[in-house]
Amino acid sequence: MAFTAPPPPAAPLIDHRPGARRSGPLEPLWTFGRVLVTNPLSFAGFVVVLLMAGAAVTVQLDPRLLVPYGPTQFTGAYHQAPSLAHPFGTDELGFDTYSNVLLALPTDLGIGFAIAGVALLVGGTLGLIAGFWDRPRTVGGAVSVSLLRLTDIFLSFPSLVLALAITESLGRGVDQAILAILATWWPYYVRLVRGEVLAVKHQPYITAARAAGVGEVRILFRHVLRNILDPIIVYFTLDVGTVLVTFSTIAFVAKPIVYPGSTPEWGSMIYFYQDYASLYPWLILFPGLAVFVAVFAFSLLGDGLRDVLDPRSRRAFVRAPTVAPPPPPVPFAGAPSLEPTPPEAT
Amino acid sequence: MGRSPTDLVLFVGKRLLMLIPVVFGVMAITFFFTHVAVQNPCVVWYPHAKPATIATCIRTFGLDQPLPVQFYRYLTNLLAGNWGTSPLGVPVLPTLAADVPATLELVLASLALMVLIGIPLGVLAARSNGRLGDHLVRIFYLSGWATPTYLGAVIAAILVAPALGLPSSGEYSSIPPPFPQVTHMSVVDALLAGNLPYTLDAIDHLALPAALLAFINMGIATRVTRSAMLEVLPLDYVKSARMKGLGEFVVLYKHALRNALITTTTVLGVTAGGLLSGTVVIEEVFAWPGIGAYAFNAITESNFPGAIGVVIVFAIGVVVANLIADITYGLLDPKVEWR
Repeated sequence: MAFTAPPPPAAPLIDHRPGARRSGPLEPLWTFGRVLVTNPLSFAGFVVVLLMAGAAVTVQLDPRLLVPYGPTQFTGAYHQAPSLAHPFGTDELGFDTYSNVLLALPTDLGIGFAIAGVALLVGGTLGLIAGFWDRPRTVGGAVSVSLLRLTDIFLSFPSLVLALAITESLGRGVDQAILAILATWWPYYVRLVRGEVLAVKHQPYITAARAAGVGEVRILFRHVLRNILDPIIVYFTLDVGTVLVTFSTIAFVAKPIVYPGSTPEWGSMIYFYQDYASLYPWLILFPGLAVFVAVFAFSLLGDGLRDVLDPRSRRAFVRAPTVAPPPPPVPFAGAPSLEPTPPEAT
Repeated sequence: MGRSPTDLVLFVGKRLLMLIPVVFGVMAITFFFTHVAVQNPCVVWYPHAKPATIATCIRTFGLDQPLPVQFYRYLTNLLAGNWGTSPLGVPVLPTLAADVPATLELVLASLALMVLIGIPLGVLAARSNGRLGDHLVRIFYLSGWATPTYLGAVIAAILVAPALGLPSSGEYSSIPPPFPQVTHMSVVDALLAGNLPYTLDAIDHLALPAALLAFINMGIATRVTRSAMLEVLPLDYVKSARMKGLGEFVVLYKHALRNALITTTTVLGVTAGGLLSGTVVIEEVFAWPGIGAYAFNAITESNFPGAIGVVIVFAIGVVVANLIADITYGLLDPKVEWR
């Protein structure tokens, strides 16, 4: 193929839409802003996420600003229904539920971000490698195939159950629970990132970059990675919520965290109070609501982002397409997409 | 390769063969967690035992052997159907086998609910794309997604069940039922026995846990249907169906949805993992005698062989669900060739 023209600029998905077209290092931020403006639900999610993150940082730095009582500080009031003095009521030990729910915020959010982040780094790197160097009968190809078989095996476990079993084998504790979730979480990112790399790496602009003599590693980071970031960010946003729910479920079932204790956690609070649920419903309602609101906010944000970034439902955003798109090609199993559960193995 | 029955058989055979390395891997990983990560289960099981008892326990379970030998033993035992016993001496495999149908019943019931409610909701959302209906549907399925299973189960059992007058525990109001439990699926057994009151009773008992499990996983069916419908609705054949003067219902459900469903089917197969994970807490709270409740108890009682057994059964369940989804996908889409 003769090299006739300079390669077209690598156009991220997002630039096809009407509206201000910006480029440069701040371009993702503009995208983000446009998403929030057009989708009220995403905007609400974004605001709640910001508020929670702010509260978590405040609680972590100086709890006294927001939290009236310590995690195991006696208030002298037992089984109080929610009131002005105790917005979420008190329990049978005289602890303030509001304080405990807020004190759990840094723990739960931090764990959600940390697990999803490490899984993204580990799984994403492996996915990049497996997707980019996958030519058969090379070292990269062999690595790629064995990596994929390994993820296939991990993906056939229901992650919650495997994570529970691992928590059980490693012994109870927060670190063990985090490790257990990580062990089951990274394969999803391998599959997601590899799928995205495969979709991008035969694009003309990659071929052009290669023809222009750009090094492989540079192509991988500047041309491939740059163009698959959008779906990965969306998936990550949704995933923080999923991790949060999974961790609190593990806290509920395997009880890695002792409650009441110095670091409250929502799942363990609900476990501790579940027997009182019919008598003093606020004891489980408020920690449960905390999980719900956190996950709901992340999901609203991520779901809105996905609608805009996912080329398949981008029409939702553009409205009134002038030309009907060509029917999608028919690969055998679902093409890589942005489902909450990644596509299964073929 | 084409679409003849021979091709289908070849395809299924190939996929079943591909199962072997996956199942082997599943076993290897579970072995790692039982024999390498847990250094000495005897100490966990019998924390107050004398050293001599612990030594006997180690010898009984062959823990003094080198790891490859232990792995070989573990594999041969698994394949021979000896999945170990719980710390109290109850064999794992027969218990699991008796519990699987109840879980299957629960999962299938909620899958049916997901299809019957989730797919029309997805169609509705696609039709009112970007407007109020779309937002309401999104709020509905995301609140399912965001509900922690344990919270949903506790609320359903304590608040919703009395409000609706539904039972919240077990399979029947009085056990054992006056007929043989052939399939161990409560509704099917009652139907087979021709016992109408018991059938209704069983459906009552199934309703809440199945509805909760469906609610939590509803988002997947709805969201995928919505985006598939959005993809199909602007196509020419839908327009021409409208121009022919067909009613909106026929256009949406007979013409558009038929193509959109192809995507939904594949993704429903993938939800098997989520549904199975959901059963762990739901079955425990609703006292449903399935493997989810068994898993919950195995984990709280440090019953390693039991927990590992459940993990293996669940993994096989997920793989089989994926295979079924692949086959259904191929049956629905005439463009797919078996390969």
